Amino acid sequence: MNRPGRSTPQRRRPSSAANERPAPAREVPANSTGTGDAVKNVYLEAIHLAERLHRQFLEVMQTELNRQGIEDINNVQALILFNIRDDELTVGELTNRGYYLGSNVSYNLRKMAEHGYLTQERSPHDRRSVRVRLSAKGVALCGKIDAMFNRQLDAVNGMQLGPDLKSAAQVYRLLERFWIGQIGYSRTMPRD
Amino acid sequence: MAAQLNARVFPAREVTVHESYLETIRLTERLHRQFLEVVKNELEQLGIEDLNNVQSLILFNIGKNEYTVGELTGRGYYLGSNVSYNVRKMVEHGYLVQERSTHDRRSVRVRLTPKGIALWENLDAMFDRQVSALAALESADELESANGAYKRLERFWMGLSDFGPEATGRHSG
Repeated sequence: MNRPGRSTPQRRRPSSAANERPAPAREVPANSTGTGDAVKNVYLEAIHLAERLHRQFLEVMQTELNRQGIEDINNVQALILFNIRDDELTVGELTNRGYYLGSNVSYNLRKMAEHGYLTQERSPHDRRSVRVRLSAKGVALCGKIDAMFNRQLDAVNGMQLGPDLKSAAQVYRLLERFWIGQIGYSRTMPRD
Repeated sequence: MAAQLNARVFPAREVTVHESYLETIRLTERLHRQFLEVVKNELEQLGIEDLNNVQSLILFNIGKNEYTVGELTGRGYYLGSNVSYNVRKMVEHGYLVQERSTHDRRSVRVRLTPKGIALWENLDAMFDRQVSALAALESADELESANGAYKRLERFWMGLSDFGPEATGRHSG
């Protein structure tokens, strides 16, 4: 691997690797130095941050539900609900809106329907397609979530974090496109 | 009727910070999900079928270190996954060994086997390729600034949570 900018001698991992190809020129990121490794550390940190932030936000949402004394819906379901808002969507459309990592959207919709947060209706045009929309109870919870966001936004504005989040989103969208491209690239190009 | 309710609860507004904020929430989830796809794709390219993407990231995080399962749980990447289950699977497939600590018999520590180290090196090479490719797209400074903004947001959210990284003893960079 061509790594310009390296300036320090490399330590090797223990030579217990099963294969005999050259050991990586670097140890785990925390021990790295040099420009190339600095970039790598920033990159690995971005990966960590995305996961941590997503998880932390779900905890913020769960805390809000606890404070409201709401026990018949969980954080992921509440986010699905907030994403539906005033729309009527099919399950497929909802899945594409995100927030649902590792969760079963159909299961969550059924649970929310059971607890009266939304209604599921077969499309009159396509009997195979089930569309969901919020009930009055769902709209009421959505209003509370919206109020929570507005309170958080006051704080975000107070910290003057808004412009930084906007710039950050531009960079992270590039990263997202890069990853999408990585998959396409590796599926069409032979490995070296 | 619902439409009228909605119109009252969600009046039209033009707050760009509002949009940025909500986008950030969606973006973090999409990024995490997309990155897991990249890792899954890499495993397919390597012809590895006895390990999934989340497991291989746990493996990468272990690196040359030894951890207890509890320590591993705090190191991220494992959203919605059962670390104990994944560690057991990786042991079964020969990527990890589990050893009781000589100092504390109750504590089980895991470390990579040679097979695990070989995969670690493949993943490390993947990161190197990505960093090389990424350097052509944008400067590291921009990504570093973006990370800085996200870290501030993370601290804000930690303050809003009853439980979270601090409560669970997870170290936050």
